[in-house]
Amino acid sequence: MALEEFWRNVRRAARLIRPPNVVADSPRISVDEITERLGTDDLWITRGAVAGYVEADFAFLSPEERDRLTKAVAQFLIVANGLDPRQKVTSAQFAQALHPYVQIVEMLAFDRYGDAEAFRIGKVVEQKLAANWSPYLDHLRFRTGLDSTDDPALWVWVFVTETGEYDDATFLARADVIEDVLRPVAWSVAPEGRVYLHFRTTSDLLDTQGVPA
Amino acid sequence: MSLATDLLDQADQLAKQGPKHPKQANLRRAVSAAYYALFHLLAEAAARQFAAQCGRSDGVTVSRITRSFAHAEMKKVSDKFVNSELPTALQPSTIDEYQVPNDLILVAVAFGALYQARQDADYDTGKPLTRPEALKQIEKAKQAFAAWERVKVTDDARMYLACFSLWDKWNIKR
Repeated sequence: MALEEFWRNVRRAARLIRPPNVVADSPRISVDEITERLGTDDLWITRGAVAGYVEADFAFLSPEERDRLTKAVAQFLIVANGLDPRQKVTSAQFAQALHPYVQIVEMLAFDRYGDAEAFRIGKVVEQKLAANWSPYLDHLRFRTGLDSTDDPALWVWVFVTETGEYDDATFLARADVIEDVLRPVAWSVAPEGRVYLHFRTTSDLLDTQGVPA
Repeated sequence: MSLATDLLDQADQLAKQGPKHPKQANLRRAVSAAYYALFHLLAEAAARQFAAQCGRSDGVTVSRITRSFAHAEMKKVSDKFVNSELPTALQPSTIDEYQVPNDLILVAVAFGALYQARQDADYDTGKPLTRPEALKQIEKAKQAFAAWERVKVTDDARMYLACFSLWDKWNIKR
């Protein structure tokens, strides 16, 4: 629950609330965009923006990633806890809060993980795949939820690269290579082994950059 | 040509129309046709199996039995077989675990995936369907057809087909 709470609070504070089913089409979120979304007001600089963070809930992250997240949360809290509610936030305080908070949002990657459980499962899948990461695999996106028969399931969108000679047959061959490695890994961590893989190309993502969330 | 193979061909044709700017309607109908191709392949095989038990193999009987299969029930059975789960009445009495043959797993995985893909294609219009996505779903159906051809004569395949109708009856609480 704490993981979900933290996930929700960061997402809300960063104004990245979108319907969960657009994860496949969400444009990539850059550091610049995160900064822009946080804007010039300071309403997000509160303890509540990172409430629910418990390091032990992130045991699935690599030690380096977990350490980076914990440090970013701690740095942000130093600023948030030091604010005087009767005073305006200074530009120095704003800058001190912005840097770790952008780091947190960047690490949670809301454009690639549709929900907190998808973040946990996705990180595990990516770690297990790391040693066999196909050169044709650009990136993965994850979402969890109930499928059309109300069974818990995991959706994975697989973005296939289009480098070199490329046609439909190449796409299908590359997708097969990726699926052979990905399916058993995703199956082992998906709820009740129910996993739906969708294969797209990197240009599909570019084509949908303008789709409103 | 059977209805199942005709539907698979239709899926292919629809997905390849206007390759540069495919219409959503064509892509969605393509995915839907790929699902129905596999559905009819399996439902007709299951119907023929039941009809043969009754000493009937005429088209009318097979067609009537085919209509009795529920899509969601077939998806549920497929999910179970993917996890090598059998209804309690069919579980082996030894401590050896039952292992579904790989080709049958491929068919069951494809059925579950195409069932969901068809639901998304037909009803979730808010999510654009891409051409590569549709091509991959059709490829999945083709691979399932090939796997079914290899596995259909096995007892495991017959049990899978029978479970479409009998799972609940066979899954008695002990």
